[in-house]
Amino acid sequence: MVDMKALSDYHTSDAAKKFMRKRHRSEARFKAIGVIAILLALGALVSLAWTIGSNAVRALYEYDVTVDISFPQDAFDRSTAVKDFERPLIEQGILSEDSIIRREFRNQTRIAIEKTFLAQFDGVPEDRRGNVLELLSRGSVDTLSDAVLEGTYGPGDVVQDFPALLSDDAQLYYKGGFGSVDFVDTAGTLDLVDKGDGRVDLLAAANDFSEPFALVKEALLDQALIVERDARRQAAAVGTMQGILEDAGLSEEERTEAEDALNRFVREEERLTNLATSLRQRANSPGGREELSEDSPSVLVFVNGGTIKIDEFNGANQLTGSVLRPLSAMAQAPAGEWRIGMLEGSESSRRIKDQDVVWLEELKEKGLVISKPNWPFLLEGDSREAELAGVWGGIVGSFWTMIVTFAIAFPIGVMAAIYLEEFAQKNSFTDFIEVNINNLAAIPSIIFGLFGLLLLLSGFKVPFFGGEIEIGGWAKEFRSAAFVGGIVLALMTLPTIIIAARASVRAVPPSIRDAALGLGASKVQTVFHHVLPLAMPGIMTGTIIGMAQALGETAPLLMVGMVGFFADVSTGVADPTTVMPALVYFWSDYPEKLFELKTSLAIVVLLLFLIAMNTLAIILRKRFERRW
Amino acid sequence: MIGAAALAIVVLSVAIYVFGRSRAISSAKGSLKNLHSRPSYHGLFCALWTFLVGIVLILVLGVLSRQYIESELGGRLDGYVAESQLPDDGLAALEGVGNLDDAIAALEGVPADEATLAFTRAEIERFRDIRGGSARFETTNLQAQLEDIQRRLIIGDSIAIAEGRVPSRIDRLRLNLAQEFREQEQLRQYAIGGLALAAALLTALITFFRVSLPFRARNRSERLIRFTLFICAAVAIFTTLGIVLSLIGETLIFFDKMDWRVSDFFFGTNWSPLSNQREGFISPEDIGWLPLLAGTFMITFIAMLVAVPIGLMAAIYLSDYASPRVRAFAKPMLEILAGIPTVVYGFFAAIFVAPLIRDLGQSIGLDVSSQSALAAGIVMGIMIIPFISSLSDDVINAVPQSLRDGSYGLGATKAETIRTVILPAALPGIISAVILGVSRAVGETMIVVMAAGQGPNLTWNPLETVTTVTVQIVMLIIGDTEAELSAGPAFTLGFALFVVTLTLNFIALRIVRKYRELYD
Amino acid sequence: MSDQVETTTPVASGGGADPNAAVKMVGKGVNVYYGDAHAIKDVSIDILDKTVTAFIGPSGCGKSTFLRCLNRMNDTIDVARITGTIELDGQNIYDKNIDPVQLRARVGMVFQKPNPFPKSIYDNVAYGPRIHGLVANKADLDVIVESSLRRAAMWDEVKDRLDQPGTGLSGGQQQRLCIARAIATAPEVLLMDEPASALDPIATAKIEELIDELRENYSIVIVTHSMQQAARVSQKTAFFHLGILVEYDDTSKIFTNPTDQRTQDYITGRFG
Repeated sequence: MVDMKALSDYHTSDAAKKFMRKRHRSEARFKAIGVIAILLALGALVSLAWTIGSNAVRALYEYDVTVDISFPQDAFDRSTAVKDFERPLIEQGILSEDSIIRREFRNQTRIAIEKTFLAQFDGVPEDRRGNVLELLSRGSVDTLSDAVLEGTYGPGDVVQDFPALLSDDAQLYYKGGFGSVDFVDTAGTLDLVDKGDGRVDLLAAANDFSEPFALVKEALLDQALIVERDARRQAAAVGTMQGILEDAGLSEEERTEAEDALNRFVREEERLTNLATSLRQRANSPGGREELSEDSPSVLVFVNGGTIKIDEFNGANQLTGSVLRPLSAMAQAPAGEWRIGMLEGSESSRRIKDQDVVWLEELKEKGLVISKPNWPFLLEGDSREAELAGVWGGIVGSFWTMIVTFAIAFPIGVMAAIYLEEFAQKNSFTDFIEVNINNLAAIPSIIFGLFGLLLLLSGFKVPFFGGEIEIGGWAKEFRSAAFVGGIVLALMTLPTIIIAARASVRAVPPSIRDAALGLGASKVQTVFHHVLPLAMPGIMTGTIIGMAQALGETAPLLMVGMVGFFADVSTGVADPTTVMPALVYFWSDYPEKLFELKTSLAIVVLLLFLIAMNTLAIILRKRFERRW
Repeated sequence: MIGAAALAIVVLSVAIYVFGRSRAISSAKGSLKNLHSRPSYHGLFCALWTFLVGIVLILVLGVLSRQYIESELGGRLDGYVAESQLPDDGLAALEGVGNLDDAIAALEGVPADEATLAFTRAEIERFRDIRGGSARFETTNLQAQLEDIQRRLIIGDSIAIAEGRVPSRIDRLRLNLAQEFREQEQLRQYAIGGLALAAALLTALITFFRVSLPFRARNRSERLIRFTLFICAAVAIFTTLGIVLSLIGETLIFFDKMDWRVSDFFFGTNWSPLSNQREGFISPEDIGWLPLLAGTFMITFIAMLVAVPIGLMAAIYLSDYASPRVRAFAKPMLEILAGIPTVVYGFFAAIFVAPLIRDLGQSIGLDVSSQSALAAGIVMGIMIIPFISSLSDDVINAVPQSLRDGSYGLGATKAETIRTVILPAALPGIISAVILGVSRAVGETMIVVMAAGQGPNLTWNPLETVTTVTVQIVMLIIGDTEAELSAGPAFTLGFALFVVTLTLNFIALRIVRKYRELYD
Repeated sequence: MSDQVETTTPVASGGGADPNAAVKMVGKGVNVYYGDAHAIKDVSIDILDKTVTAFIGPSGCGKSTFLRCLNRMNDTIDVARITGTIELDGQNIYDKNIDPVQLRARVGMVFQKPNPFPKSIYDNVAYGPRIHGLVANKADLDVIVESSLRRAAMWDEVKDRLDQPGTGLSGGQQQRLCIARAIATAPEVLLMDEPASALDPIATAKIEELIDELRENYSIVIVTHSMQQAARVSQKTAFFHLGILVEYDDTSKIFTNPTDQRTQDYITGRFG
């Protein structure tokens, strides 16, 4: 036997203390790993919320230009709207008079708006008019032409302070989405010399252009880096080619070919290396002459009520530029009265070009631009134009889909739960049902989508006693409709509801059943009069949670065609429609940056619905949950 | 009309309930004790039968008759096209004409009605030419199918016009067909409504006259209720059965078309089933699913690499270390993570994580694809964190307190207790949680559709673009390809996915059951 | 909390079976609160070395709570708060520089329900020595495991199946395994919380026998529901009632001639 007393003394020894310190360090390490895990999980949540939130906030407002629009006296004449060649088509019923008039009035409205808009600028060359009009959204035309068709406005009327919606790119510019201008204040005077043909020489008295010039030089360095990388690639190719040439087994033909290629690569590498060297030289030497291209940053000079875009630096203080907005005079501008604007990104990488920047700055300067809450986002249907697209179609579609899902999944789910808990005998068949329900809960949602596609929409033919019968395809005419999507989601939600309902039915104590049965009630009466009402709050909680899952589901709806462009807001379960999460998916695919912001806002709307549903479930549980 | 009939059936059911009940009362002659069942059960019996007969009839007839009308419409269409009186040189004039307005202009002098018909016929002919010109369309079956597409388009448009939806085109032919459809549809609806209502009425009468003193109305109606409950419970079976059958069915048809070269599917490394879509067939050389499987498992593996350590450690920290205040804050946060729709995660991956990883990679000189497996995997991992942590939390809490006490009582620290007593005891549960997590990741669709690539790529490099089984299913189904062609591979992939996830779940369930036996 | 607490309850002390036994642990003015509930009220007690001390009293009287104070097991409960001092060999175990983890190595504990870890019998017994770094090598560990199992009087029963799970043993064996596990850590004091309450009479008898043998080396404190058990195994007995230490004296005196009326009522079965 060991002397336990001696061993006991170990616990108070220094060795034990030292060992203890080691153990506590490892304890602290373990705990720190736990904290890090929690922080990582929360960090993921925060960065997700931040990504979505920061984008969504920027979609909360939209920008309009307020203008007074006047319609000419001869506008909106129904008698001249229909052209002669269209008459026979109307008579044949191929075209309708209404639609022709609608189209014609819309045209006239558009012309009026465009005219007014163009008039806001100090001077737009004929060939640039199209570019100016691209800053305007076509959506404002629809609003106004609808008003005209309703008779709100007529010929000769003036629409005061009409808010004309700006295009998505213009909106983004005002939101600071890209190409926002960094302004530099000036310390010296600026002399201007008109060289004709819209070209101007500029001469700055102080070193006001040193900052923009530095920016241009910096861009040269970036360019040099890119060129050097290309050169390295060529060098690598040279190496490869040399390796190939060392191979003795090459045929003469192959050798010639490889040598050609080698020479090509060598020449190209040399050219690129030289280019990079010269770029670096230019970037590092002060002063010098620099021409600006559309790959360099842009420098704009706002002077004498006009704007000049710099084309060329002759040293830091002597420049040449072209006029983008006419100047009131070519006189010398005093210090501080003129400004320099810099745009860091190159013009070719921006959707908003320098000229657009000048126009948009002009509108802002004239006080015509207003921002207002983006209510149309909530109230309008989908659109191909980013600035017009709204989520109402998705909300309504989700509503109808959820109605169908609930109408199917809730009664079936509750009745199935009652059967399994109250009536089913414990036998292999009910076991089989149970296993099935658990399996259903684990099947990926996309498989439900495939099933729905086959069962409801396309169907397939199978051989049957020599002939063929078609299975499925029962709801062909409801492709993309809430009806079909709702059925698929109902099948998917069913296990959730059944499991929740069974748990709450089971939670009702047997004493209640015994009491009812003891009074002579039948099993069915007991269940429907006593058990079900008591279990209802729990069932509702589970159902709401299941519905919330269904509301966020996208993949199965993708399969039954509920993702896509649906301009019309659905009016019932039979209309083709999209749903909120599908809208999120569909929008996220658009290249327009504004759609990215709007997608984020749509996600916020979707999450608000989900939060509302889950809150309701929590309240229900807190309020009605009974512990027996 | 059908809606009205359904409403009428509901009203009739309510009415027969009232009548049946009062008939029972009156037949009892003042002494309700003489009745076998209470009067309301007599009413219920009548109402249940009436309602069931009416509604079931509406559903069945509604589904069947609609298909009948559509085939009728097809016949009419053929009739119209055949009736077209245009001489052949007229058809020649329509060569290369793309829209109706031009067609009317080209056929100067021909009445517009005729011109429209001719144009439609020309379009059908053109379809015939396309398939005629290609050697691939030799089988009559395929010819018929292609003709069918144009016919279906016209019929679909006509129905759209009749129902007030937007057709792809409006012309005289479609308008005529729409008119006929409208008439037939009206007739059909009246017929169904009338038939169902009549049957319901008959049922109501029959059940009404069964009301009598000894009639066991309660037992009968309860039996009916039980049967309905049973059918509802069996929906789970029908659904599973339906899923299995439809997946298997399409898969078999597909493999049949592939000459049963099943090994090409399982072991092939080239996935491009639609590379011959213009010729209208799929080559067995193009259906190797290994690149998809590899992509799926690479993304799943990355996801698990993120989710398992974080989820497990978070669960351990929350259950054994965190103060109640931290727990009250952190747990709901994790649950929020679980409640976020996957499409949101996909968006997050596409606009934040993927660019971030690409930029990070570039800054250290790595060539990272903008749709890297890494980005999709990380975000999927984030999605699965709450799943792993809540399941682990359950199993960790299921380890009895007495084991913790025993360890603490011997002077173990918390970390020692967790590492050497709790984790080994909870291991089976944790493993099954991980397996369930894998099963989720394998079946997850939206994140990979939005953040992973579409090009099959057999690679070990997580910085490259890979594609997954689910992505390919989505691409096949929502792409522009004819359903006849793309459904086969899509459903076959679906079936494979189904088998994989089901197997994983089965294993997880077995482990959990064993584990439960350990403590019960 | 100051170390000096005025005691209101008389401290019964000394005069046990072994008059030479040294004082091992001393509780002075101990109060325990569970949240707002005052579970232990101002208890002062001396626990002797090489002696079995029994805590008896009706359910909820605080005897288990007090026992768990002796090796700071209450620390693992968030809401528990303790005032007063408990000394082990003259050192306050609630002192800031006392490590509860190390304390528990010196004051071992056996619980009401047998709680072997889901590991092999060997690993169960070796658990304590391993985590505390008690031994340097496997051979020494083998020796400790064997001697602990021998002391727990179950070596012969399990020596051939040391690698089988401890959870596979019978209830009585499991509890003796837990005692062996506690002994293997080489504690100075052994706390037992109703160690036999979940066992059948034969297993109980074995445990009691074991306790009696262990007395030679350890100071043992046992909480028990059964007065017969207290009478059989202990030399000193403390009677708790509503969180108060009512009486503490030689077991023989408590059971034959208690001073306090409440003790009298309890051992004669008037309440409890």
